[in-house]
Amino acid sequence: MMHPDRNMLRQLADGNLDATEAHPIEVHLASCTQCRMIVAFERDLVRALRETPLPQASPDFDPAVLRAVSRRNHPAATSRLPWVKYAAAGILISATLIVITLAGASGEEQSRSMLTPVFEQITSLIGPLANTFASQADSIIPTSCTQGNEVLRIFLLAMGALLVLGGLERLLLPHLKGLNHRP
Amino acid sequence: MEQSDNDIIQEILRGGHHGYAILLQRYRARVLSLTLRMIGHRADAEEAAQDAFIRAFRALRGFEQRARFSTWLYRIAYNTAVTYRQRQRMVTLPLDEEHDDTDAARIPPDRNLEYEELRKQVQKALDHLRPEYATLVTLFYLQDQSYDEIATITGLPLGTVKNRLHRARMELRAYVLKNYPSLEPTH
Repeated sequence: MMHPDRNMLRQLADGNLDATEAHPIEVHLASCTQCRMIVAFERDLVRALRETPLPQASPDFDPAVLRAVSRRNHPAATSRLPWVKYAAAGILISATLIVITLAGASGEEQSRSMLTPVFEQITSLIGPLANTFASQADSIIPTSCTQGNEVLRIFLLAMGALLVLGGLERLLLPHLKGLNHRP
Repeated sequence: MEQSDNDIIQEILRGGHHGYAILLQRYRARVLSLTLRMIGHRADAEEAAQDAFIRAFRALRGFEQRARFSTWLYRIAYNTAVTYRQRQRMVTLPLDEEHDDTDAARIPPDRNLEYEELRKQVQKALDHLRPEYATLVTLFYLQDQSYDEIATITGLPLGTVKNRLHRARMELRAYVLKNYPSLEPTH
């Protein structure tokens, strides 16, 4: 007796054959116990695979995940408090600018103290940067506008920088998200 | 009626907190089965599965619903498990030592094979498969992912997915048939 190709029997078992391909094999199966056994075996194999028991997670699985996924990490929360990161950035920028300004003013305008050598050291390192910053700051916000209040002037400059950063983020972030968030 | 995955996700993105417990319950065992097949070590697999759920939650806003949520989640789980495997340099031990097919364990050739016995043999065979094959078998037969979806999850070319699944099934069949030579074709 001529038996169908084993691969065809598997395809039949998987339901991958169309009616014209399946018909002659089914005719053969009606009279061939061995081929019937093979098809039944292939079907049982797939069924057994699909019925593989899934592992049970430990009792602490869900609570541990739900603890980690707290309100603080909620995906909806990221857009609720954008001011937090801007405030943090503002403080950082202001602190940096104050250090640069104080370093630029050390030596001549400050009385000698324990910190004076430190300021002098910083001045020698970032003196040109401090001078550039001072001249640029004068052109953006003249000292007369803040009535000589240097800290206020630095604060206003920092806020301006933040506005520029915020605008850039709004423009660029959607494009960056589009690149990263593939399924 | 059961709430769809996408409805739950929308609720979470609006600020809800209870929906994720439903998604956890729905996919916990499936994600764990995937990480377990890939990592082979129970405690590490469970940690990787938890990590995957946490990462998925944080990235929910980026889920664009172009694919099924399950496919997206399995991709995160797959990548997390890959990272764990690389980090821990785990050597997956063969799982067959305690149930090696000695003569005593052999089932006598019998065409009226009990399905339950076959199922046990398939479980053993699955444990014998190399992790990259077992992972694909798990995704295809247990997680109902299509060839295309598996290619998306694993980053493998479609042809490689089909080829490996075919080979995996050949190996499974060969393992089971060792115990049931009567099923071998004589033609």
